[in-house]
Amino acid sequence: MKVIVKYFAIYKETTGVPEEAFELDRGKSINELLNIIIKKYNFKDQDSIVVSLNHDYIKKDVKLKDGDEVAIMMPTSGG
Amino acid sequence: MIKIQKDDFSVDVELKKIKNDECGASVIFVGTVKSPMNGKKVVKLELDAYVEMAEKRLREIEDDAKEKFSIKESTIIHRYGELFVGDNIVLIIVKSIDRTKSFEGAKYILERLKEEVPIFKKEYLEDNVLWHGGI
Repeated sequence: MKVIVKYFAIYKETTGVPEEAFELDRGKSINELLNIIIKKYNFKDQDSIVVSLNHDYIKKDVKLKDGDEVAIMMPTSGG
Repeated sequence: MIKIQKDDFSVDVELKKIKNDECGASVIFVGTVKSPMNGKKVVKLELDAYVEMAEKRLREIEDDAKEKFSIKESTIIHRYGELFVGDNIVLIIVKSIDRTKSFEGAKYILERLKEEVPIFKKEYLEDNVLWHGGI
């Protein structure tokens, strides 16, 4: 299955790309995908990573589906 | 009305767009880039935004605020991109039949916006560059 990952703020700078596609085996979860990304880019400050799935914040691990959109962000600072 | 945009906004223009004679109270909040921040002179800000999610989140916040504070009309605009000291960042206009509810509604929207809407500030200070939060 194919999942799109979007990066924002410091994570866009670290990866050097605004988004990329990951081909994953069926049944993979958000946390499994995160581990792949953290390892690939050697992210520091992992505690401040905020994750969304299809435009909703995710706090628990969930299974991914083909076509899902995941975003890797930091805590918000708008306003 | 919700917008995440790079362009500046005009308070007058946006206020006229939501004219409603039933509402005797319009509360307007405009957030601008300030300097200093934490004692440091600010050169500029760069704001990154997850536009699709930010718009979805703002629509939910606006809907909740309308229900809680009897808001008849509202406008929420947040800018992103490169912004300099004095530039507009955010506009919130709330129109209700009751002034107390208008004030409370505007505050509710602003507080939730700051907590939940995926927009990220990079601060260019006189001697340092850092993402808000010190990263």
